[in-house]
Amino acid sequence: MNKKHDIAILFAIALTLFLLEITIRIIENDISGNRNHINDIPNIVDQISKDQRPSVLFLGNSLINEAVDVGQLSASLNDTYRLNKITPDGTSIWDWSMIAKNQLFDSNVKLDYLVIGFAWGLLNDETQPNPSRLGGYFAKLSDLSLLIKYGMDEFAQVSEFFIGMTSKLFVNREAVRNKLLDSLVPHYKQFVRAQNQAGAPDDTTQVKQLRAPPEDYKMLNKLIDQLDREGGKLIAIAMPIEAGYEISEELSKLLEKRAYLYMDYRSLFEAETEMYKDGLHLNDKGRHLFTSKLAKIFNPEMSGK
Amino acid sequence: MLFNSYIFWAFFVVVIMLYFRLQHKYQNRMLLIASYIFYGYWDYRFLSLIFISTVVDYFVALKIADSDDSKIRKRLLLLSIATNLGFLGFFKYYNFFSNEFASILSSFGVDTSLPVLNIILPVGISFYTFQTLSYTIDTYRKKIDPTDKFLDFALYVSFFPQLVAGPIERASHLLPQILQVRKLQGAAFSEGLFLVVSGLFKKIVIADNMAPIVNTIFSKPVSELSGFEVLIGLYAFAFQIYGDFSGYSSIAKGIARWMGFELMWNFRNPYFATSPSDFWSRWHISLSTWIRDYIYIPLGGGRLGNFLTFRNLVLTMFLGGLWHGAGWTFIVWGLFHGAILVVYHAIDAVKGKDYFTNPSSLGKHILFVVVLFHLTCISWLLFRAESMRQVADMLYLLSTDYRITDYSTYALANILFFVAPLMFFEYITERKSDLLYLVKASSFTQYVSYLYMVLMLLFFVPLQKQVFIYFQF
Repeated sequence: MNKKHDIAILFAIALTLFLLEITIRIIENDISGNRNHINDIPNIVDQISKDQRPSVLFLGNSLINEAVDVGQLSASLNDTYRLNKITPDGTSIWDWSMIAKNQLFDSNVKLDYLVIGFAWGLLNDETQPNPSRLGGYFAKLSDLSLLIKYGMDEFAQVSEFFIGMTSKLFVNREAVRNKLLDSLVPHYKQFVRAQNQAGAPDDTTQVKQLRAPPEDYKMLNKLIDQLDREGGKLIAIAMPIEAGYEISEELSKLLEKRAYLYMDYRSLFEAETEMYKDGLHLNDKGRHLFTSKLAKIFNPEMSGK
Repeated sequence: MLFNSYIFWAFFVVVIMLYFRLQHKYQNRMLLIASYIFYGYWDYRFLSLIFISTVVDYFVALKIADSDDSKIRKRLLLLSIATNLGFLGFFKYYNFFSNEFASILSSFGVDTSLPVLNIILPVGISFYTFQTLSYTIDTYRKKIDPTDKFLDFALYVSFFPQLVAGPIERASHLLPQILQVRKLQGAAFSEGLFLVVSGLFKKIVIADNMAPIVNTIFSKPVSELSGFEVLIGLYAFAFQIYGDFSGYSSIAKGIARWMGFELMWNFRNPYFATSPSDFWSRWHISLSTWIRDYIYIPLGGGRLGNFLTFRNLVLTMFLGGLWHGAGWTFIVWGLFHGAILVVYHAIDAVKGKDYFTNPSSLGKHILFVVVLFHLTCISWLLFRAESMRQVADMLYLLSTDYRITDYSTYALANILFFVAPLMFFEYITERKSDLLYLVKASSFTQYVSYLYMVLMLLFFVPLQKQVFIYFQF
């Protein structure tokens, strides 16, 4: 085979990938509800900025998304507040800090209350970032130096950040994978979820754990600083999870000191398995009770301030 | 640096760009520096071991070639063997043998506490020590002439594509390629491309997607498993280790090909083997031929009658097992392979030499392949298990419990999804007796195959990155 032939094959593959890239950009919102939600973030922010009522934004991942019924809460608060959720799946402080910076603070959106729902070490800088998702959706090129400063400094992470900025095909690979395997492999969701919950029993994880430096909350502190400057208030909620989890003393102290409200709801439904649909996310009953709990606590606080 | 990392490919782009701008002599110097950077990126302290091996074997080989005194030649060879096996023995086997020695003494009532050292196993030590040993042994046997070019010899020892996980190249094959000006033949780019892409596919898509299944099954208490799950776990591990190791070898061969080097094939569709000897002529070929040439044949090979042949086979495979790791499971793994080699040789002796290698019907051929694959899977149980207790418990389950569970159907579907296309492709290359079939296939076949591999590499990168299994050996 001659070089021309090889180049023709490579060109055909590159062209196919390019067409797939265009296709995925067109159908992106149909890939999953999560992608649709991510692409809807600018609209949510727009709604907040246009509404004259005091605003409450729930920021987090599926834990708080599944736990808060905005309609129920809004009715409980007599529709006095503009309530919104930005809760992309599988996100952590890396994504939340970039969403807050780029979508809210840099756009001068007035936010009265930012409610962050977290679990485990999701507020810790040591949580592993998803560089391609940050590059593709939440961060700008100018944020890269900041992300490197926060610890996203591995060559592979920076490379994935750049690829994520340029290719939606790459950013959405996990969603495509899950959709395809879910349709072909029996019990796919069940065992992948179990595998993710069990953690990673491989050598690389152990190495990371051994080398993990002390806890650091640079991103969280920066987010609170920015929120303070904009006159907003942080409400932090440690979300309930069936198996429970530890929160470090350092984080508790930090939230007690710097958050407007810190609510530790880890044991809200202790040993009440009927509140969860999969051990992590609340079901309808759990959601209703959690939202009622929020309303009871929020109402006097919000009306009083 | 791992072949499946971004940093390696950034490194390789720099290397290849410099490579084609330099003359032969400076290409070799640059490759030597690149090889030391490649290895030092993991742990620079262990570069000293490679350097010492290089210096010792360089001078020993020259002295052996200069001397006509057989005693001096033998002493020099022993110096090389002692140096290389000394490093290997200390880093790889010290703790195992000191623990076993202490437990033997304590069984005789002698309490002793030999120091247990916190030793890190240098990556690839088993590979490069065997490679450099073959150089001094071949010089001693007058099969090759040693080179007086130290830096070129240093490149032979440390050539980065195959430094940490082989193929274990012989000096007679690789050294002339280093010493002579290399020319890129017409198909070098296509072959390199096929080897690199298919190697990445085997590692990232096959091996790394089998890893979570294997880890789940081997980390569960045996009481929570069914025999069918164990069987599926063994299938998954069979393809994990194959994808992992043959993928690495393929990438190594591919990137070397792009620089004009021709490394040996390390794998030739091993799961299509019909007998254990056939398997070992297809699996980790560079190690099995090394063991054949430097252990089995010097022991007498198959020339001394059945009994001594059987002894030589078992002894050779025992040492092969020990090469893989300092642990009883590896030793029993080697002995198991020795035992099945003996059994198949015995059947050959009765039925005729072609009985397994040239089956009389398609049905027999398929039967032989299936039986040998399952025997290999049992050997992989020994290879992967944490202890002999786990081996025994899993073997008991395998023979008594055939419950089909949700997890086993999930895992089996995963194996079929990821592995079946690879096995189909290997079946074609087996039928055509051409491992580079794709390079010569029609444009449409090439386009579809490459697109499939690229898309799988894009979409099916596992969430957890896995290191190469053979780095630990």
